[in-house]
Amino acid sequence: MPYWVRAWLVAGVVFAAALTTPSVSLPADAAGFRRFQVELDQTTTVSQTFVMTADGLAAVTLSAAATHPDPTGSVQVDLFDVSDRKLVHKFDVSAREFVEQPVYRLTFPPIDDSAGQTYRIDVRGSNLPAGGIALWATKGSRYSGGTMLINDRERWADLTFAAYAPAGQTAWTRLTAAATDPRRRSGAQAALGALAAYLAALGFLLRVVASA
Amino acid sequence: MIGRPAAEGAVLAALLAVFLCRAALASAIVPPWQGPDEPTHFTLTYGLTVPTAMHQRMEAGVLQSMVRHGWWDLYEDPPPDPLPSSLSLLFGIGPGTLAQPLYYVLGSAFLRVSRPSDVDSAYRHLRYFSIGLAVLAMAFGWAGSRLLFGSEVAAGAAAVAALHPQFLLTAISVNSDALLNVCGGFVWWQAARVMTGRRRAFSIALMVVGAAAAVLTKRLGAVLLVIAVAIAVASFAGHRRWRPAWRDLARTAAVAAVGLVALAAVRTLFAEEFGILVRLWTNALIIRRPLDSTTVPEIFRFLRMTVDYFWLIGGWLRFQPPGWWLWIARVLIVGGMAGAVAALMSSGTDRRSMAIAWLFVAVQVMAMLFAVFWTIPSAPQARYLFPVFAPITVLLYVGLKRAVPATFHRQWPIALVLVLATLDITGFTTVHIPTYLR
Repeated sequence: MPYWVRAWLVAGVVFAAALTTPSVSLPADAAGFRRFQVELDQTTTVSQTFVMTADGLAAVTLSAAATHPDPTGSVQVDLFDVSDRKLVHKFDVSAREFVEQPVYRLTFPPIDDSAGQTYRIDVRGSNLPAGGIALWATKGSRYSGGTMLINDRERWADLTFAAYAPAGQTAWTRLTAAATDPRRRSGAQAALGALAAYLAALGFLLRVVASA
Repeated sequence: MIGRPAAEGAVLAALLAVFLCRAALASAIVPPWQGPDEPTHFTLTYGLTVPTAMHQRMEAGVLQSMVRHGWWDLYEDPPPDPLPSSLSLLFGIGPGTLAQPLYYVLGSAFLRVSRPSDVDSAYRHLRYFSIGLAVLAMAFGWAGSRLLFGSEVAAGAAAVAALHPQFLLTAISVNSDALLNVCGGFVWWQAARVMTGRRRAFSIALMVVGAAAAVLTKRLGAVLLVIAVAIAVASFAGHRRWRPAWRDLARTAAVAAVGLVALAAVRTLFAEEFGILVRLWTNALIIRRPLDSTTVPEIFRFLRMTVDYFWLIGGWLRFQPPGWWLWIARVLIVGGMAGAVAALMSSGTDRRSMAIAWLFVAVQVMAMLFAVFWTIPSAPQARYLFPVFAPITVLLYVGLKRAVPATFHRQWPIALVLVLATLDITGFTTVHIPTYLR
């Protein structure tokens, strides 16, 4: 394979990676190898702190599992702004709805100036049957911006969670979303076309540079 | 890197194609009015093509366009309600003046040919005009670099220019920077012709004309006049036995005479504008802060910010790339410039050509420091360096190549293109796209 073709393939991989990597790394911790379940009940508050890395915090996801064949009752979730010491949002979700999907998304109006703020999610059960539902967490300190707490005591673990903000979208998602928006369609389509032409022109450049 | 003329042509064609694709990409993503003082420069240019009675309506059209394109949203402010009747009532947009008319006259001539139907299309046409000027600036820059340093360095420097994110932003901005950069490229080319003995007298005359055009475009262009005079003096000093041909002397005298007659005509016909121009220039020389009040840490902070803002900062000093990106750019700039200093000291390189390139850059940087600290306070902006962009790209190329071991010289051009393209595309995906496609 000619040298320039290999270089062009590298350029293509760089383009693809740049377009599909979010511009900001949002706080999150996926379920890891050392995952475990934290049982929820009326007397236990399970929390997770995190530092938001972008403005426009608009959702948080948690991962729950049913530990009872018929989970009844409800789950209370509070989102606190620890930096400003205020309750930001309060949710009351039925336990059945909470465990219906592997990941439950709590959506709220975007917080404009969320970047740099420390938040805490508090989760507690209400009228849950014994052994009703549990949250997934992973042992260790894989997420460095915060930690899991049980009844305000820090634990060597992190809940399985993710915070969402528009800044966490990839460039590709933004371009393709804009391409379907009638107001921005022509610009986004022109940008996608120009991107393809840019990559092609780069291949031409690498070829002539290699043979010059 | 380049051994045959055909190969040189192909490299230049490829660089042009890459630059135009990037310009199309940036134009599709970056909304209008995001460049420095664009609304003012636009209204002055477009205003020359519409009757005076329509000016207020035109300004209202510009303000509505700014609302439509989210100008205030990007400052995280609501648009004023009601909108002001004039752009001059907006905070934060600098004034322009027709007393420095060159860009406005050329831009309006372009609009008279392109015949836009409304404000948005006029803006778009002027953006194309700026892109054309940027291509011209790069062509002049390449011509000068080729004369002084040969085909390889010229092509390498042109590659740095063609893939430079901040130069691209200037290329799609509707303001007089684009024309000033053309003047800078032209002066660099003519300086190279002077120093390599190509019709020296005539080239000196053209160099001075280019610098005069720069002065009539922006006050910053005065630096090019200083450089042109320095090059002319250096040329005379370096060739004591130089005997110019009578034909060259006659042409130089004719150019000088035409220049003086034109100056006298302008002074008589446009007395008011001429007075404004003289005040504008002298205003830039009034020292507003004691010369000894500037501290060394302040100067270092300014230079550090200049390095950080040189490769990319979007939205006129607002949207910065992530930290890892900045570190790569810092290494490129500081490493390239350090290598260029070493090349100047080394006996293996053409020290005279290196000294000419350094003269351009050093005078520009000193003028920037003088203006920012003592006469016109301002934040560091890469565009202030773009009138000498061609010598800067040459120094970066030469300096960076010095750091590459000889065994990798074959791979070096491709590696350079890959690194520059990586910085460029990630500049788009981490700065422009997240900012403007919210």
